Amino acid sequence: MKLNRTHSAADGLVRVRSLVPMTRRQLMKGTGALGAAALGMAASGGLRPAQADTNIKAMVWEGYDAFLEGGDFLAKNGLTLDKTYIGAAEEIIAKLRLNPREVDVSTPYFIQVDFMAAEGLLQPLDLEKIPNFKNLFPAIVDAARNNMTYEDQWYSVPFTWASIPLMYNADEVEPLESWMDMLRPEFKGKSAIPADPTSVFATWGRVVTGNQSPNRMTLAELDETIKFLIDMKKNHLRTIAASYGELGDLFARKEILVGEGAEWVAPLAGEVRVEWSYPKEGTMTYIEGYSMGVEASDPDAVYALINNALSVEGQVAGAEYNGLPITNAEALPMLSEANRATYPYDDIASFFTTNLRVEEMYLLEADGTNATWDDYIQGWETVMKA
Amino acid sequence: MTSRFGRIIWTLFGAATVLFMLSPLFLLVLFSFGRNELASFPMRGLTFDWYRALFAKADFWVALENSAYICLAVGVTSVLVGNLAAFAFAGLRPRRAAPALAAIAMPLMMPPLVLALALFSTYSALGFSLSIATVVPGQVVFIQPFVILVIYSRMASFDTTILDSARDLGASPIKAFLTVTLPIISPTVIGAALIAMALSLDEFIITYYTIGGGLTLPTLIWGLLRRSLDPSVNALATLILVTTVGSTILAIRATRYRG
Amino acid sequence: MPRHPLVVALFALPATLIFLLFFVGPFAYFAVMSFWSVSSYRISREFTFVNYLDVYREYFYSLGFTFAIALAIAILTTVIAFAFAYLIRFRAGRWGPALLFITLITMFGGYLVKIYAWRTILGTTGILNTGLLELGIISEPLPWLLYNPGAVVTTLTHFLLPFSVLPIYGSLRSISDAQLAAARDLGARPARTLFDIVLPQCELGLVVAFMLAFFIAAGDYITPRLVGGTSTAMVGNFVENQFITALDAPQSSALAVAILLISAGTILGLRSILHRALAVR
Repeated sequence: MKLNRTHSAADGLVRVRSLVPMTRRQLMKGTGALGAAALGMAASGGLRPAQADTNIKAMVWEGYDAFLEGGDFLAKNGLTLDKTYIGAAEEIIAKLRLNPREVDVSTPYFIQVDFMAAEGLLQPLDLEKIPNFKNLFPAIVDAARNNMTYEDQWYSVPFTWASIPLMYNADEVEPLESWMDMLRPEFKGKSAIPADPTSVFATWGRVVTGNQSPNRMTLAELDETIKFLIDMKKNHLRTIAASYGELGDLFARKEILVGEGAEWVAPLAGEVRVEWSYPKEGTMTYIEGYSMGVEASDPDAVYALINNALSVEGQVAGAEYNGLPITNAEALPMLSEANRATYPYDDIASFFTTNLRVEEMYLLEADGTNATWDDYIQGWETVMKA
Repeated sequence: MTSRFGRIIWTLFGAATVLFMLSPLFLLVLFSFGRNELASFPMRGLTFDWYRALFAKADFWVALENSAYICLAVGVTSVLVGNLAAFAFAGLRPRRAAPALAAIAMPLMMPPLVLALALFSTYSALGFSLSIATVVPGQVVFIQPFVILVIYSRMASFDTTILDSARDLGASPIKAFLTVTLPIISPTVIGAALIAMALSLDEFIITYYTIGGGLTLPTLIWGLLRRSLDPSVNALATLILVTTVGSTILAIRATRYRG
Repeated sequence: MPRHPLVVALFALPATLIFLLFFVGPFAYFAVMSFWSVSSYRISREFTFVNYLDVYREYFYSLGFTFAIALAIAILTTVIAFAFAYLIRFRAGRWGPALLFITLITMFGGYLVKIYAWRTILGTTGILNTGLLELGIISEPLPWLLYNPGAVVTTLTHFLLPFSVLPIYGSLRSISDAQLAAARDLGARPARTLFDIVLPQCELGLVVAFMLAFFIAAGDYITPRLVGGTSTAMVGNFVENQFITALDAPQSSALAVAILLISAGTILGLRSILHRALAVR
């Protein structure tokens, strides 16, 4: 049987694309209308109110832009934020290295700030141009200093903070005291950790090895932690959450009962009552700051934005939008009851010094005994691959 | 007997596949109107709050505008460029056109993440500043193969004798194109434009790495999904669905009306 | 239609330029990077082959897993897509256009949003589990519906199905009903008609459908992250992780090149198998 086989490769893909024949003529109409609408939009100056703006490129976590924008600051000052919402803090490093002009203001991971400063990716900040800096809680400035300064210059200024406590579904679980409680048989397949290697190693490294500086483990200790994490992953965890917000979602959908999270995750769980404890082994705390890219297009505008993020309006707007705490003491009276109940504003100092720790940057150069930053990163891949 | 059995099997298969294809879409539309903050049953009544929340978001309008510009630019560019290329390939013998088509379709065969990282590295190495404008060629290179293949297949079955008679009657090549070729192929061209725009509207990874600063609809959703799941994302998806599907349905109805 | 070689070249020029400038060039640059080395978190342009050794040493299993799952997704998608396209073309009668329209709709709605919709369906408190509980078919929610490779297969198959149905339907349209009727009249059984007439004529549609599904599945890294659970780290994850988190673009590039080579090999292999299997007897 000889069949006609002259059709071409293109036929396959495409014939279909011409869709149902009867729609063709009309597609014209639809597209015409769409095109006309778009052209009209372009002609009338777009959907945004027209303004001759200075554009500032912001590379931040979704929600952190709320601090910068607080109090209608952008409109008042003729600024526009061109935002990129990051998926990992290291994206900021990658972009600053490859294309430094593309990042004016960003929120790098505070642990990496001194590394970035040493690499020449960030500008030293002139605190004179950030007058609100002097209103920050002294305890937070103290806690942030080691990570956010390099050669006695500030390269990032703290706008919020929180920790990575042990979260649990309070409707079904009694308060927990130890991270090891997460491995109880009744939580098998009902727990999760975030896909955030820094916090995972900082939290579980201390639990597994007892090393009180989990970012400075020896290679042997790191190996031990990796083995532990692989076992936990294979035998206990429901999933590794793609983000912290995802953990809230997991609680809400009753996929998990316990997890390594953050205070602000609790309200994201909706009707499920999620609470947290700071386990006896210790909890990692973090401080978030704004930094200026080394080739920022308009440093004065970036200073003004950062200063606004630390202003009372910026702080309140950002804190309430994200469920995160403030760093400017003057904003405290304006905060909601819920926010003030969540975070220990009356004793911030002990938040950063008792069993909650701010971690330092990893070792950069190998010395044969201690694990380097790269060892941690590859270690996390080992966990993921297992 | 076999034929009735066959018909039952085919009906079941068709129904199951349609259910499989449509149920996620149905759910996202449904929950965009639901009072529930979490997309789960039972539904707690209907509301337009998620649409209000979406429209109140300044970022949504920025992203919509950026997406509209990119979508339009990608649509126009890939159709112009793709049309010309399709004509060129149609002028070749099929045996010579096939490898050319295969080559130009190569970007389709590559994970978009790789194309995204390659473009990002190259632009950076060359010191280009990134903007909406740098997104467009990155999307075009991966969308133009669709357009070329669509139009090429139409041209391949094009009856060239009409063109020859137009030329014999003294029409210039350009006039012949405008008065004969274009009217015949324009529905295909417009179909190709729609596909290009649909692909552009959903493109996420290339855009994310090449835009520099600024949100588009997919990168906005990506950002929002990181903090919490909010049905206003469903509202946005519903709007995109309604716009694309609505225009197609209108098109079909209008055709019937004309008879 | 242009016949003069110069005009042909001129018409093809813009698309070719875009292809060269924005695909060939960048990809060549990216691929060259795979031979560079990294020390102290900085890239240096010293030639090395170590990145490829590491692809073998570190990512062999992930590559294998990725290709197994991409193959599963591509085969599943292509089979369902063929059956559905066949249904639309030959069996559905006046319902055909409606089914085609539904296929088109499924292309829209957004990739990320669809992933989230699947979590709503497959989760512990999801629609499927709730429904089965209500119906009394199960007494405990089934946890294995979500957060495992199966969920990745389901989600990606759903995403890819319309893109695969369309090319296959396109090739099926070139088969005339008369051919099938003739085969039937000559006493060919349905299976014989399928293998001797239908499949050979839509071979290209099948290959295109399979390729699209396979490549997109093999390169995806977001779906596994959101629905794949703890042991579904596909190689795309590491392409991104090496480039971004590890500040090791060369390793990322070597992985990307490896993915491409293996993908191309798979497709060529499949093409020749299919070609032989469907050769007109």
